[in-house]
Amino acid sequence: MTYVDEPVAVLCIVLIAALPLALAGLALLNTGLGRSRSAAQSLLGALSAVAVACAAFCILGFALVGFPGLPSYALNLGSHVWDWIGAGSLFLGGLHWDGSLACFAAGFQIFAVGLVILIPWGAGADRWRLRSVVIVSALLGGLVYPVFAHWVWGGGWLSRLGTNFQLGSGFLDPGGAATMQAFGGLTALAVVWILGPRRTKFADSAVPRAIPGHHMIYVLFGCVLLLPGWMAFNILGAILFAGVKLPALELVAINTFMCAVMALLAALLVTRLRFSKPDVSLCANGWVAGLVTSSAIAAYAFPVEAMLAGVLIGGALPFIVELLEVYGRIDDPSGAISVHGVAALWGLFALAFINSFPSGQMLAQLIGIGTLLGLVLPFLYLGFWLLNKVLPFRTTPEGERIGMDLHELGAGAYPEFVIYGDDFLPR
Amino acid sequence: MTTVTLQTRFAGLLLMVAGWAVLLMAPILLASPALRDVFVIAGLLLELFGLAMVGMYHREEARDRR
Repeated sequence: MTYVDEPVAVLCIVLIAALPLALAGLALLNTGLGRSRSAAQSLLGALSAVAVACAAFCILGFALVGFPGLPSYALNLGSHVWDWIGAGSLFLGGLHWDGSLACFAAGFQIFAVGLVILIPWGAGADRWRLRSVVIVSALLGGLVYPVFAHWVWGGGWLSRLGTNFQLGSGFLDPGGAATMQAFGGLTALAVVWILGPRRTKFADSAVPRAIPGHHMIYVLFGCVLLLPGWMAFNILGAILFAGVKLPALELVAINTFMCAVMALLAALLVTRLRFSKPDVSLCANGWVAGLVTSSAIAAYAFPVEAMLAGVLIGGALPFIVELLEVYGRIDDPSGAISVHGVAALWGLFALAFINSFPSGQMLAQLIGIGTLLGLVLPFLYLGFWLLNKVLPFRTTPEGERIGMDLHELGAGAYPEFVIYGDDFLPR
Repeated sequence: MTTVTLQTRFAGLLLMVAGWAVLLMAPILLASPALRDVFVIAGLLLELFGLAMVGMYHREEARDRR
């Protein structure tokens, strides 16, 4: 078991305390990008989903994730060890809270799993029932996320591609670009496919109808809150999963910030050129996409590389959002699939180009990306498809018409204001 | 929704899993780095093809739901 010295332990505790800022930021961003008549349900759903997912993770999840050095189930095939799943104790039982990396990894991942469930919750806004998101949160937090997280962070087979098959340093994901962001983004894609688009999104016309977010102040304030939370995730991830030492951690923070800054500027420029005015929601999504990309590269990159990766994803983001919406007919109010899914996969791919990794690193990164696309996504999709048969994800047409606040909670978020338009009226 | 599109969805999912199997077999069965590259890229292309098929199914579904 690896331990950290006292200054690093203090830093880890401070960083863990800062992690909820990222969750608060994402919840606000999701709410602002949804409709006003579903705002209270969005925030209550975010709290409920985080609560259930984190509880499920503490009860069962961390036992399945484990950490290098903790017990796990592995197959010994020839000279290779295939480590598939952790074999820890329930209720975080195997930990001694003595400053070991495993203890800090448990604290890190309790919040990581909360962030993961908020990503699809934003994509399913305005139509996803509260009770089904609670069940999905329990399953993701307790069972599905931990299995994949073990493969990457718990000493599982993806992290051992280097020792087993001489593929670089194995699959690298220091800040959670794969385990949190891409996993959440692909979960969002599966959920959106199962839910279908909002009623008026593709009504009457081949061109999707713009349903603007109801509160851009929430969105932008959410972006501000995301920054310190994200820095905490990236720095803590760099300590726990990349072995970055204390003096170099400042570079991780700078890379995180510069990646987000350049992605925002690129999105601002592209939307200014395309629509003659900057688009607030796309610029906010550009900022988040930069943060997501930084999750993959911040621990290893130099600032110039982080800035370049940010410019590329920020500039491409408006086109990716449009591609999914117009050609894929995917209704994703928060842009979660592009922002978390595509940006994270880009970051994981770009990681192989930076730093001087041993040969085969690109192949290891591609195998990790391929596992997300070829195994995790179909599994999530089939699971949700079956669950949807038992417990329908989508609300009724009436619920969607009057809004999720009135339908599920019995009261609106803004009872003294009628601020929505007529986009729900029969056409 | 036609039967063909329903079949498209499940064929797409199967292709994605098949692509992952190809990709996983590359480092296990092959020693040559060049061959490994080819197999991993082929597996990824298969996955993307499967993803596009499932996407096509849901694109049609979104049109029908309108």
